[in-house]
Amino acid sequence: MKKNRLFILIIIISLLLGGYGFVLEGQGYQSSGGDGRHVALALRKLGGDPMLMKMPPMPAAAEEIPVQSVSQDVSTVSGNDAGKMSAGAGELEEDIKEEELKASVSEDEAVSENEIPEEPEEPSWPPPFITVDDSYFDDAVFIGDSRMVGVSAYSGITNGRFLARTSMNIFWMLDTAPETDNTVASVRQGLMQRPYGKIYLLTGINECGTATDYWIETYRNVIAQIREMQPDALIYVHAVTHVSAALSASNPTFSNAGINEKNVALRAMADELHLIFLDINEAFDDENGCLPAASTWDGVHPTGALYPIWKDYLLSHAVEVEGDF
Amino acid sequence: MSSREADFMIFSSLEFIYFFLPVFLLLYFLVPWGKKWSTTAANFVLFAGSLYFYAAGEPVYVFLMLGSIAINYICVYRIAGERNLSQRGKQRRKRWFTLALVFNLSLLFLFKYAHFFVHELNRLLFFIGKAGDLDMLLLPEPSLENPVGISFYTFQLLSYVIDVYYRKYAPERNVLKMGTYITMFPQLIAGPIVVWPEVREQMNERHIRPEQFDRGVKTFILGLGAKVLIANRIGTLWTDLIRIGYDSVSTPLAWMGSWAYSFQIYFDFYGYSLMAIGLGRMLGFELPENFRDPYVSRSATEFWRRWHITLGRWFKEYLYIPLGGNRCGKLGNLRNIFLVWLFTGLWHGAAWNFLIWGLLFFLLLMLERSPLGKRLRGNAVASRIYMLLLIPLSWTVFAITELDKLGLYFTRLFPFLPRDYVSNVSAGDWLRYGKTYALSFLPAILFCIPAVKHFLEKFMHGILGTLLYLLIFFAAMYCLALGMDNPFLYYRF
Repeated sequence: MKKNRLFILIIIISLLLGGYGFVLEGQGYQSSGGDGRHVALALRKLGGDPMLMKMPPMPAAAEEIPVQSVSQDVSTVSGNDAGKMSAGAGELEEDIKEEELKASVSEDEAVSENEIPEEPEEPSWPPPFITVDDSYFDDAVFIGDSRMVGVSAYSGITNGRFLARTSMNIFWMLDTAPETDNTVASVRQGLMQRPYGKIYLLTGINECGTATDYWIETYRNVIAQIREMQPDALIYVHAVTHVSAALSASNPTFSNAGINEKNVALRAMADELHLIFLDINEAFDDENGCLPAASTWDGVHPTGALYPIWKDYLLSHAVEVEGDF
Repeated sequence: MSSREADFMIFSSLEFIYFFLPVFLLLYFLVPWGKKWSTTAANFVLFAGSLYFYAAGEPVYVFLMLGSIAINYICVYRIAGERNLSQRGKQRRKRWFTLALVFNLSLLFLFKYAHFFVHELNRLLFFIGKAGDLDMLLLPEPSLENPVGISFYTFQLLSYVIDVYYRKYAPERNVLKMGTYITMFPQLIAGPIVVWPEVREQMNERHIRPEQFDRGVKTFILGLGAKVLIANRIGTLWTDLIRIGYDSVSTPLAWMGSWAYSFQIYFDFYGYSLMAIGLGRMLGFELPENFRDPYVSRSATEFWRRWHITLGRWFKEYLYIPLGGNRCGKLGNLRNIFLVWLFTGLWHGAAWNFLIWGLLFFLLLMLERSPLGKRLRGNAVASRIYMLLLIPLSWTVFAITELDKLGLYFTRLFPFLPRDYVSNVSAGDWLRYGKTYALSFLPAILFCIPAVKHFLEKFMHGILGTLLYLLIFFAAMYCLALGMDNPFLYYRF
């Protein structure tokens, strides 16, 4: 027995983790794994993996917690601490934010209801695109995943601020330490430093494995938090970008059909919350709605040489909005 | 790795560690050990378990493997059974031997190389047709998938057939033992390439020793750590370069990428071999060592004595020596070495780059035999610089299957080479990637140095050792768990 201490300990710890994972599954935590998923669930929960999701959303005791303490948390959380924040805390925060969000949305609706009868000529959202020059990005901040890192490195946009990181996703977007800007420990910190005129968001491909509803719900929550920090900024959201036909066919998780489903939901959210939806796929797609094989080596990213197209697209898809939106 | 291998139940997967292995070990240790028939029963469990393991990934080709084992068993039986040593008896013996060789090599050719050869032949026919304005008939290209592990088990079968034919040892009469030797899951899909005498004794009678089992668990965990915590992490740098497109990669980043790939392929394969050896020990076998710190080599010749040792041994024993080795004149010897490296290249895959890669080593090994090569080996600094360049360059040739992209990559590594494309290099890209990957490069470099490994081994005993092994194991499990709902964790976007 003593000689096989290590093996016995592995079994005992695995059984404990498995038991905990079993309880977690009972609480509604989902994972796509097969064998060993209970151990995996427990490890992810203990490690604070924010992509661990609970389905269906459980009626938690979140309502009991006073709102002030949570928003205090949000403002003091920085970088690494936030990354380690347990998924549970994340959910509580989410529930509350969602409530706030609903409130703000209904206000918006109330305003627009009042306005429409008075001025029927007022163009509805989204406002028309215009073409601008490079100086438009002077007060812009770009937040996103590896494609945004690509934009920062290869597009030729030299002004504006980039808070981007490879593998960024909506679930931990604000608490991610940007790799393109080492003066701040998190995107949130960067956003709180000064007001910006435009905020460009690009995410979605790393979250392809998650359900659209859950993804959009989290996106709304992130938008609400950004609005709180940057009430006057115009927010652009990029469509989830298409992948190559080969990847789409070979990997169901990353099918363009699934990506389109996310984009429909994203566009609806953008119109509702008055964000600008940027269908960047227009700039790269082939006639079948796929990223052309010649434009990408890995099926997902346009090659470095093609990123100037991205800049041109942004310059020709700008909006000017006067006053509130 | 092909996509088929990616779908396979690899050792470093939750499915293997939390489903297959526990169920298998339970059955294996339910065998009442210490009885006369215990080893037979254990062999049966191991054989059946291995077939399940293989069939889970290859539900059709498992029958190909079984058929291949049956035919080889019959051939070997006939070869050994020929007691009549008259001229006719010798002829019959030779006939069965030839049959076995032709069968095994045809199988390998059909499944692994036929597509490549027919495709290239069609290209040639098309070219001739175009030049001569003829309507050439193109051959239908076979679309058989390459069965996982076929290169490994076919090589084991060949070694067995050849050894029996040359009377190195008597064949195994018990088909269960012979089948277990070929199929046993620790070495089935990625080696080491075991020869029969290395497991014969244990196949006849083996005992389970707690010390050996414990050493097996530890070896397995070290292999798991090498694969999951080092190879998988540093390997993403190579995918980063594919994402950018080689045309826009700066020269320092290109060198960094080649080194990252070199570390990835080493820790991936070394880790997998360690896991195989560890599993073997847990079941009562001692499988042969496959890697011995290859990256400290001071010549390509030495490198191949330390890298994939069981493959080098196979080519030496079953190709080089039967061809005459160094006993057939200078020219004959040169031919033998050339053939060994031609086939070593092809063994790794059916594509031109693998041929180039094999022939590159042929050239280097020949050059290292020259007086200049001997002087190089004698110089500690020069020989290390030589290997620091050779290791990443040779693996770059190995990594990039498309020749046009391979050429492109070399124009990035050596910016003075002529090029005909526009590149969009991001200034300082290597610094950014260097920062991101510094923590992945550090352990990779350290664990290539034998002195570091020996130093760390001192801590791997007693309570502290147990805790460290537990840490490695569950850190690897955590990484695998994170990859579950995020299939692109290792291909991060």
